[in-house]
Amino acid sequence: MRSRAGRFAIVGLLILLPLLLQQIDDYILHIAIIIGIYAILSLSLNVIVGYAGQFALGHAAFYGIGAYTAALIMLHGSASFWLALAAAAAVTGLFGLLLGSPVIRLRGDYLGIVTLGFGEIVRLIFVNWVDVTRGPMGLPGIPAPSLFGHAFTEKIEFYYLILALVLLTYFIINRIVHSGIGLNLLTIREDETLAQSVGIRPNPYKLLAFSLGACFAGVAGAYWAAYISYVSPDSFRYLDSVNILAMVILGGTASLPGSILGAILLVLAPEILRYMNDYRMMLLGLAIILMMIFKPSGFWGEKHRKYNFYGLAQKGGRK
Amino acid sequence: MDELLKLEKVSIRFGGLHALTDIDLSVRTGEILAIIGPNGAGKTTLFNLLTGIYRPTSGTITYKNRVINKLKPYERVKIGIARTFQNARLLKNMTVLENVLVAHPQCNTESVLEAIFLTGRRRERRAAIAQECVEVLKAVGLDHKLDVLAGSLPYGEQRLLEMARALVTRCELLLLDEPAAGMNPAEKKQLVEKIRQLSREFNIEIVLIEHDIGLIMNISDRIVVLDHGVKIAEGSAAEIQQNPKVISAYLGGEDDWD
Amino acid sequence: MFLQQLVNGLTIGVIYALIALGYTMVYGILKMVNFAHGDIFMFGSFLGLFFMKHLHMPLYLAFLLSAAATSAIGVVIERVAYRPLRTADRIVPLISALGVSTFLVSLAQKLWGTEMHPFPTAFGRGTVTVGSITFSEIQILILVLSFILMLGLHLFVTRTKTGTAMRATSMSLTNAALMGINTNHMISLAFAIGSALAACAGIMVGIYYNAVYPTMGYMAGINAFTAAVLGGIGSIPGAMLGGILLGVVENLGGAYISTQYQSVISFTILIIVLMIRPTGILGKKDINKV
Repeated sequence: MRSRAGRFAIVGLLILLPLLLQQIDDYILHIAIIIGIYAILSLSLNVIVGYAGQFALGHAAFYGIGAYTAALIMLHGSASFWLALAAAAAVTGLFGLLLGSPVIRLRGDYLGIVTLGFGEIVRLIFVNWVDVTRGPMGLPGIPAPSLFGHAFTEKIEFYYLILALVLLTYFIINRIVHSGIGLNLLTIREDETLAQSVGIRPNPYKLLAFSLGACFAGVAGAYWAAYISYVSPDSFRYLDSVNILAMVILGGTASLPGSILGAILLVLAPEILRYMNDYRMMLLGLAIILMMIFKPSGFWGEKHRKYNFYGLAQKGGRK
Repeated sequence: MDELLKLEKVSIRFGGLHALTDIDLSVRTGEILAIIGPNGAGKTTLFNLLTGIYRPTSGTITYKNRVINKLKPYERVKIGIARTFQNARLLKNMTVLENVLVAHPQCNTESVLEAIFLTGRRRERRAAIAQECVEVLKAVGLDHKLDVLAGSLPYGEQRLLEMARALVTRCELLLLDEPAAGMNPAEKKQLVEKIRQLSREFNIEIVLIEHDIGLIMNISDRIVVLDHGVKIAEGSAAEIQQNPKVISAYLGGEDDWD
Repeated sequence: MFLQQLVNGLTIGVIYALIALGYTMVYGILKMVNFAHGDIFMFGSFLGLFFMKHLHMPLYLAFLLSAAATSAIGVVIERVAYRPLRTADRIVPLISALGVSTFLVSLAQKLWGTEMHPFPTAFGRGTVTVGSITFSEIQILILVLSFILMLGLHLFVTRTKTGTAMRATSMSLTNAALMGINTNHMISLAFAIGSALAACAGIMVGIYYNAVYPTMGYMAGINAFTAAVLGGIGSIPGAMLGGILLGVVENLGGAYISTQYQSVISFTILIIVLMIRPTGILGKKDINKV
């Protein structure tokens, strides 16, 4: 996605793809939708892990909080999907802030453990707060989104919805990380003492990264709830957090196209290697180790960066 | 002469170690002050006190008639104190321009919404900020390498880039930690010229730590000598060369002076 | 009631301490949290189960063999997944450790399934009553064996030449290397000892709760890490103290507040300690050199 034309081509293709393939089956659309959900999750985690350098292991918790928030609002408040989506984003963003404010002062490995613990506790609450969440049974019957009085029933409609959400997420995160905010985040990640010595106050930036990342994970969660029309604690386990993190790592930290690539790879791989399904997580673990040893920057890492911050094309001039 | 920065009886201890004891020091407007002393004399610790990485155990640091003991490093940058590091500390995987951009006081004033809804006016603002950075890079002589990764610059240019980064903060007091370390004599000579020129051009006060006595004598208006965390002498180059305490620290010290 | 809870807390506390020692020894030398340590503990438990159930070995032999096999696993993990990354960014070995953790858990799921396995031993189900307190046999085993193991470790690091070399390595990797210590051996040794202790803890937990399952390492790992941090990470006596303290507090909290949210208690303790005194009770503050 180097040039503007290239980007338009890809987006156009994604919009037209289902129309071109006359007899596209629901299975392929379903896979595409799952890729979309994970693309949002890995893009949002990349803000926290890749740009702010915070080793967070509880992203599935934010995803879950978003899903439950949206589900509860739609079921009990009979709110529309769109309102629930906004509410889920706001609530998870707030949780990101709440979790972020005590933990951002911690060093990498400590932060990892604390966020891991946070993820486990959120899941425990989903399981144990039966009055609200119905515990392990989960919340069924979440209504589908509707637009101008038309309820979404076809997979193709959900496909376009997630495509729009992915594009929106990509656009917003891309603008933010390529502003001064992103440059400051990377500086903090590389060398916090240096960041302070050039006038950057680190904590607000780290908090911003946390709540921004959490916010978009909430968007993904709200979509998931409406798409599957059911939420249960099983979808938001520690291994799901690891899976999302692996997408960020394999794609390349601090690389937005990389995050999407990571989501595509890790959603497709188990589908293609179905006969190896038992070994899926084992292979994932091995892939993470090998990646760290041989290519820690990921398949589409920062080295591919073509533009300076502020969107200034390299070789001086404005883009 | 006015005193821009003043230290009164400043001490710092790490556990039982007295890193600096009762340091009195002042930086006057319009001068270049050098701090010298054997290895482990406390020079870099002094810089870390001035920039807020450490806080003094006792004593006061006054900048423009304001006690700044408790200000955080980023707050000190905002009031006009900037520094370079002993071993060039750069964002090695980022370009020269980005390394300077990050220190520009306007670089991080955009709100999230402004970043998302990037209006034409913001774009112009960004271009202007980038242009200012380019100007500063021109002053240190690096404007032909804007898109080079900082880590791939030769060492001497990395030091210059650090200076550009400090200057772009619009500092009034610039602290240079061994700016000539690792340079050959020709580069050192150029560096002296560069420091003088920048001091005039940007109208800033400079405090520098240096090992190279020749360079110090050449560049500084005043010299402070530290040994074992204590100030043992202060004065002009000529005075310092005559000072018996300095001579004994210089000759009898357990560490060499390089 | 209170004393009984205290004893129960002590039992789980010494187990935390045993696991915490593995975290703390590795951290002391490499300044890295071995995220896979909880899963090494789980593997030790499964191996013990395997030796007893399928090879019909007596309990003591299961302890010995599981400890030996698990320490070999620990050493291999370090050699393969961490050593090549020693000079990389701090975050790189952490992610690799996460990969190891994922691998171990899924391997266990593949080998033994995801369900809970009971521990096939008649031992430990009997009880001994002293005054108002009832000890189960397994509790006595846990308390006694853990005490012996910790004492042994303490004597090893303070009284032997190798132990002294290990402490020197944890003070400074470079200085130790300059003094002629083979630091790679010391790192391997730390992994070996830590993993063996975790295996012993794993078997004891397996018998105590009569349940072994692939994800048992998560919460145990978090709790033991909390114990290590509470006592002062990097400090061996700290890990022992932290483990016992955490076990007792958690158990009393569980008994008097809520058992469902027992793990919330230790998590809260972890956050508070990290906020207020990140160096823990017995840890030393290190000066941040710039």
